[in-house]
Amino acid sequence: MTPKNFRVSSKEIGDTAVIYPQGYLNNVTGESLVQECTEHIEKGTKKIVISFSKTELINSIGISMLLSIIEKLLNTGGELCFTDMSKMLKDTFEMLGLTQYITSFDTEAEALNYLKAVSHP
Amino acid sequence: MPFNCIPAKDFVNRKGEMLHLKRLPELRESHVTGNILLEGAHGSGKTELLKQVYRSIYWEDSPVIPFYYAFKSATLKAGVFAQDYFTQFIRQYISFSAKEPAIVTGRGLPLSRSVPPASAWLLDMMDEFEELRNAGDFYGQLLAALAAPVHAATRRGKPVLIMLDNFQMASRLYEETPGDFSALAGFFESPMSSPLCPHIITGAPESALESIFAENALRGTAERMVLRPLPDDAAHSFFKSFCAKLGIQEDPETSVRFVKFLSCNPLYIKSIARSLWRMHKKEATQRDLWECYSHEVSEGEIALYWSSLFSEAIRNPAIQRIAMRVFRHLVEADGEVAAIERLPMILGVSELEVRETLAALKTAGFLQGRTGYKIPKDPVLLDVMHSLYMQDIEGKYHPERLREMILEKYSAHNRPASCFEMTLLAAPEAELIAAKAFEQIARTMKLNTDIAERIQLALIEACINAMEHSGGIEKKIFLKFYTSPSRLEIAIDSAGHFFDPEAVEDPEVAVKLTSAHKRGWGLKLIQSIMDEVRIERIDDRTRVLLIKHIKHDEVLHDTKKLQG
Repeated sequence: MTPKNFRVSSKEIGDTAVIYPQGYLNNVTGESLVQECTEHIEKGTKKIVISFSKTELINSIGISMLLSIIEKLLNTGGELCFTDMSKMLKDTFEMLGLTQYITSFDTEAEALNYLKAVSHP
Repeated sequence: MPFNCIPAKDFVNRKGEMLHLKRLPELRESHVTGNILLEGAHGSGKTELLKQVYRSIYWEDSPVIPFYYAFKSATLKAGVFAQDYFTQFIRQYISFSAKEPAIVTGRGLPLSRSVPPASAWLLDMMDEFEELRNAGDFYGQLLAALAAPVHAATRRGKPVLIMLDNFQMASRLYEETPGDFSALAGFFESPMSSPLCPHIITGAPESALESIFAENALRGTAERMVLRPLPDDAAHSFFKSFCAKLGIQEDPETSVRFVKFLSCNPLYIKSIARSLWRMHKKEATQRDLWECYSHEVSEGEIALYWSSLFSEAIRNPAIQRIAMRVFRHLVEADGEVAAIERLPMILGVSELEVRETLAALKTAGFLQGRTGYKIPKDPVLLDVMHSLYMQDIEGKYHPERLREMILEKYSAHNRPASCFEMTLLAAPEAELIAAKAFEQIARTMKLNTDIAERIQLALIEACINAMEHSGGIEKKIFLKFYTSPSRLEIAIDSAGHFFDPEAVEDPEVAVKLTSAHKRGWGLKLIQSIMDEVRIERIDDRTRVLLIKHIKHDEVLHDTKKLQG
């Protein structure tokens, strides 16, 4: 676990980065989240899991930050998974059309299992 | 008559619209705007707004000459209309110049003797019009009547602000017999294109008005301006002021709930206040209000208003009976499309009769929808139509029975709603305070976690939007939560600018992904969560109103399962 700041934490499992936005996913947490993901992408990580297990609330600015991450990862040909979403989060992402660019799982373990099988050049 | 309007001080929350309309001649001259097509629901106060503009210009030392004309079904024959329009203009012009309102109503001196010496050209115009009338040249009369304000504006070097009310009737102007000539409204093209004569045109329903401007020579000559319903507190002030004048005491909590039920419609509010007075009520208690309401929807001014529109739209009594049955059936079927297909079989009438009846009901504003037929969300109209149905179709109408039916129907509405208020200072993450407060409200309402979280998200978005756009010095936003077992309403007020939600572009994720500007999801989120989102202007504040109808499965019925 790398406690870079109190809003976002992360860990690396093999070639995958697992990131935990905490509390309120707004502009501040969103920027930290983008920064965290960018660092992993720049290091060559192509598999990222964002776990919402520690996310209590979200707003539209937080959602726009998630779009930035999707864009960055799409540009590198990477894979993004969302896990541990509440029903409200799932429905919101579905309604806005985000789910077509990510793969969602109920748990982090399921996402890691899935990504193990995915190979990136 | 343009002077037949409420006192200016009672005309609440339309300052912005008044100012804009009064500035129309100036804006027209500088090519900022054209003519205005003023739209709004039946009874929303369009006529009142025109009359207030008229009166305000009339008594001010204004460089603009006001002219108000309301189309009437009795004067739609072209020659009669031309005479009426021309006479009204001359009367109003002379009245304005002399600041003598009695001239408008035709009291006092004969018209020709009221003409001031400096306006002898008016006498020439009147003589020319008389010659056309004597010659039976109705086209000439029509052209002369419509050109009269343009002529006056040119002679005086002052713009004439022309306000045309009930303009939907212009499509029914005829030459000799009703329906013989449907394009006479096109004669307005010439005066409407005069830069010295900006027009404000209104009427209802919107579809009838818009079709005049879409199908003939008037296409593109007017811009839409929508008169939105009064906000709750303005509607309450309006009701309160009416009651005070009539010597009736009202209880704010009861009245606010009741004017909200009336969709804050000024026509309904005025009618109920007058009904209280006619029934010698000294107080507007809940029971009194519903008693007056029952009377209003069956025999009062509201019933008269809607039933006259109904008879105007459908003149044949046999078709009226079919229309009442069609409407009742659609209400009972909750607007289900398949119900329309079954109508000929159920009612025992031809498909053609059903089609024509549906079209007539839609033209008159009793049904809505760009495509198809939807029942309007106006409980008052539905009750008026139900009462008509009871009287004319069932033959079972009895005032006491209707009153009981209405009291029973709205018993849930009569239960008092709770109200919570809070003020937030626009500061980073202040929206979380509102979200936290809502958590407790959701618990009190026994909302399940899913719906509570969704509403919380909508609330957060509305607060962020209010804080980002709150102008003014105080930088505060004001929240009110109204809760009842079946409804939640959240009002978020700020000094932010008014915006039209229809003008906000719907964001597309594919576009946003490659765009540098990834924000702009707030309104879409709010609209997807709430049942209704209204943006209202209340004097110097903008209000975002979020409404959610609480369904049975969105409430926790076992208190042991309550969250938190």
